[in-house]
Amino acid sequence: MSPLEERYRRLLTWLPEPARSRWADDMTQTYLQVETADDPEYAEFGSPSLTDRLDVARLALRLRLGAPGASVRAVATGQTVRLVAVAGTVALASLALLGLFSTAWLHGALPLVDAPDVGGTPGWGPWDALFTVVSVLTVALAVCAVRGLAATGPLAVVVLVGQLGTTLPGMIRPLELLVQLTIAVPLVAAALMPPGRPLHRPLWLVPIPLVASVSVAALRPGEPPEWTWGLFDPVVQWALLTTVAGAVLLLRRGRARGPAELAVAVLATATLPALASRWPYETPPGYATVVVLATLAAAATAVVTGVVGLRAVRALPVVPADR
Amino acid sequence: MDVRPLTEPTFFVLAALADQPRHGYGVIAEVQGLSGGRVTLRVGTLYGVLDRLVAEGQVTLDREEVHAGRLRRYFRLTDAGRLALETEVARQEANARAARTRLAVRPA
Repeated sequence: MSPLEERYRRLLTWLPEPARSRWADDMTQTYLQVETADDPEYAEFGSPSLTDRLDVARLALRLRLGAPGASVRAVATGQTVRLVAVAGTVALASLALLGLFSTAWLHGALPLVDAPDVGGTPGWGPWDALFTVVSVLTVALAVCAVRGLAATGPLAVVVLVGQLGTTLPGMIRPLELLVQLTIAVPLVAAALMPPGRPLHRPLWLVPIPLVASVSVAALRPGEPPEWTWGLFDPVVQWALLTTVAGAVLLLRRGRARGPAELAVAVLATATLPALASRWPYETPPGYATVVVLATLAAAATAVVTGVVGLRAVRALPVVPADR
Repeated sequence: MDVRPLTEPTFFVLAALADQPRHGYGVIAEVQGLSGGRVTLRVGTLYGVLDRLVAEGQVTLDREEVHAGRLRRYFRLTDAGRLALETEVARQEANARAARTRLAVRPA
């Protein structure tokens, strides 16, 4: 075995089973033919290029996330990533829509509704424009994720970069970075999400925008009691939604466990940094209590659903999925 | 059957296997020739496409041959693969016809 062959064989260990057993020998031979076509001596000193490494890493990632030909376990992992991406981006899109609605209201752009009196004309600068563009793209991203479109990945990367851009005016504050960490989880999942068929009747997504809208509507009539303020915080709402979702999943019997429980565990874990960012604020006692309770609920949900989901997925065989 | 347009690598891999079975390196060389040097398939990309096409029943293993002491696998199109390629060719031809018709009309 030449040094070049040895290096390519080592590179191909990145591929998961059963694809590695199926393709590694053949791929090695093809690599050797391509690389030594012009210079046979290259086999003695050559090594895989960065492009080859990236190419194999991309293939390995796709196979681990359930691309056709991947194992049953990899397909379950891919489903988990898709569930995190879909639920997470729908949550972000709900907030983005509310943000767009508020901006339009503030600027008097809503038909039949007067703009609020804020003592002058509200300003409009580049950061407001960026915020608006990112909000629109976030809504589009959620639609793409639900539809399982191939555009989801690139769009998720654009939204992720845009989200980071919207935090620049406030400079880099540790608390803001914690919130960005929470937001980044569904966006990274969407960037990695394997394309697939549209979700069939995704009624389980309905509570996500509903809870966000209801809380805004509840703010309208007047000042709510202090202890309820925490419940209007989107991060607290996400934590409580994941807790309810986890409880519903664990209480339902007679269904296969795995991706849904793992997705809830990931989403519950994702809310923890943003919840932690609320602790240092000097808030009313009721608010702080709600945030602490939501944090405990999210942490417990993450642990319980994570254990159940991981056990179920690990029990799946590493054999090609039947398609 | 999935009627989504084929990606460019998938289209060229199917086209490269349309006339005869080929091994991995043969497919890469054929794709380069078919595209006039425009498309150079990376090995990882090729086997990602092959893995999917084999799983979807559009390509299958034809035979294995020993060449210079090494095993070479040859792949061939199945009927489903030929149909997918023909459907894509018809789609691209229809698009090209429509565009050519518009190009023939010069703006006044």
